[in-house]
Amino acid sequence: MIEKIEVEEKGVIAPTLSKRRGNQSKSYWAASLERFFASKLNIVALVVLTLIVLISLFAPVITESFLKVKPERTNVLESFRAPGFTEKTRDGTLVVHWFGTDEIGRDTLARLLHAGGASLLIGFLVMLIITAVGVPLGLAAGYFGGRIDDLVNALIQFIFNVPTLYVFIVMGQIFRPDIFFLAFLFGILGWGTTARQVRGLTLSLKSRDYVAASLVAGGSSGRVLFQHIFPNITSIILVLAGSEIASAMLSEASLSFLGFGIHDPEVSWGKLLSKSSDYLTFKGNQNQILIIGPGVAIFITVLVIYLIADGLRDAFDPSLKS
Amino acid sequence: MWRYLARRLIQSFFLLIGISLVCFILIRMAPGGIEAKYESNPRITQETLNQLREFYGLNDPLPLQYVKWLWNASHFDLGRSYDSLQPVTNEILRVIPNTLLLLTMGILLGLLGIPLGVYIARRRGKFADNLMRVLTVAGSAVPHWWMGLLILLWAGGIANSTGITIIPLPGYSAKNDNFFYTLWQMILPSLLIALTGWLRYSRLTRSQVLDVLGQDYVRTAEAKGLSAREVNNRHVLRNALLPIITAFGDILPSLFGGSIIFENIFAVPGMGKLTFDALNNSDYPIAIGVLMFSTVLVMLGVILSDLLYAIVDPRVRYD
Repeated sequence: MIEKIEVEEKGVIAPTLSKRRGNQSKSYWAASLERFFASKLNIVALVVLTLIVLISLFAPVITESFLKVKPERTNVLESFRAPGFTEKTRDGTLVVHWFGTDEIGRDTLARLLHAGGASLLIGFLVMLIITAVGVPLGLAAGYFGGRIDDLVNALIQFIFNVPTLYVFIVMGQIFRPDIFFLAFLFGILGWGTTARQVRGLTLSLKSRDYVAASLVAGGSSGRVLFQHIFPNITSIILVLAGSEIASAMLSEASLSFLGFGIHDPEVSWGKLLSKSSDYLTFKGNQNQILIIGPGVAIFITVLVIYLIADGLRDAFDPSLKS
Repeated sequence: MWRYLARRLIQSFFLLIGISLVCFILIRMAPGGIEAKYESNPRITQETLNQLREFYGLNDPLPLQYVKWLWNASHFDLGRSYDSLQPVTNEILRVIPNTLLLLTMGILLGLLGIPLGVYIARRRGKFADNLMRVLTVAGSAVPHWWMGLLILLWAGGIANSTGITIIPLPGYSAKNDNFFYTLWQMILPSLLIALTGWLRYSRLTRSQVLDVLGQDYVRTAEAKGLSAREVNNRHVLRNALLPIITAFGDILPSLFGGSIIFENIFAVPGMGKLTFDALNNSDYPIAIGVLMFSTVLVMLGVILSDLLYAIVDPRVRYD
């Protein structure tokens, strides 16, 4: 049909017409993505994040083939060496420590690269848990109201009132958690914000005409929730998820810094800082990257995640852009 | 409002019971504790260990232990430390002034974020506003305690090489009887705590002020000939600053948590340091005592900020 029309209508109008139609028929998601990629900052942030994730994933390969050093290889005689120090190993090969060595002579760069995995994994897992718990509870509270709403609100109030870091360090001491347990802890005490936001959105969407129409037409609650309300909040959930990853990574860093997070032999950026800070003002410490490096790594990673979340929010809802 | 207050207090009561129950069970399940402490000590016989267990009530069945603990806790008796053998309440009261001083200084300094927010709202879209936007994003991505480490690294390096101490380095007991010296030592950690407030309040105040400026009543006030200053003080700021009070309640738990890290980095003998040391020594009565105590404080703070909100803003009604 369309082809036929185009053939019949000669001249300039036909292509412009079809082009306009093409724009109009663009879905919400495609349009949002286009807006997202229109900003250079978003692209840079996305590229940097991808790089960080890739480096963390392939850290063993990278350290093995490029740095020629294992993160766990120690040499007490060459501890606290300044960046760029070249070490002569026992079998005669030269190893360059680009970022120097730590308190027992391990290569700082190799350890930094290896540590990223744990930090990112925790952020990602916490986000999954928070979304899996917070979104259904928020939806239920906002849609059904009444008793369910009261219960969810009480739970949110509960977890907001808990001084979480105190709880985390107590738990951290008692359970000596691994990455997954730590993520579980962060998740079950962290879903409050997401649930509250989803609840508020659901509450306002519930009073829309199309929801009423669907109900009048005999749609079940499940249908209304999943066909009409949920698709409208997916973009917000995505944005919230981004900032949850970032804040979980920051919490993990704090907890591991205090020594109640990740335990040996696993490393994360916060854990690296924990060890280095013991030698903060130690005169023999010539390697300041021990303190600077992990912090910069956390900073850049969290920053790009925040930027992406921000960019997504603006892209999904241009009216929010201030 | 009284009904609301009563409801909140009842809620808080259940919250306390819930938290204490969970923590109590967890801590009793935990490895270490009194046995681990004396296990390797050859002079402690099994008999003495039993006496110790009896003294701390560890031989009772778990539910009974909990009820006893709860009963005592309601009389402000949180048991005795495994480590110092002092009552936990004494230990907490010994360190709480430092934490409160640190937090109060941090919160008060953090309030400077409000004028900052008003300022950047007035310069919307100009350089100061854009700079603050960048700084806000960067500031919320950086762990504040790491900035503390950096400052210490830098100041420590200078002190090591030249002997000049620019800022007070950690090490608290030196001139502890001098209150002003204590204040001076708290400056850096409280500035870092205040950073949270600056970022949060400036952002919030900015959006609130911009929101209020667009309201009809501001236009009315301008139209009836009030001076800019009067419009600002009586109409804009009054309305814009209300949500700050709620924001205060929201950040209180994280401030409390943050104090643990800052007390550790800057060696301030406060609640956080007490908890940290207690946990590292498996001193569980202290750990659970501090947890309950800080929960109570945070809860009171949040309730207080909610009530304050209702008092300041007559439109808010709780029922």
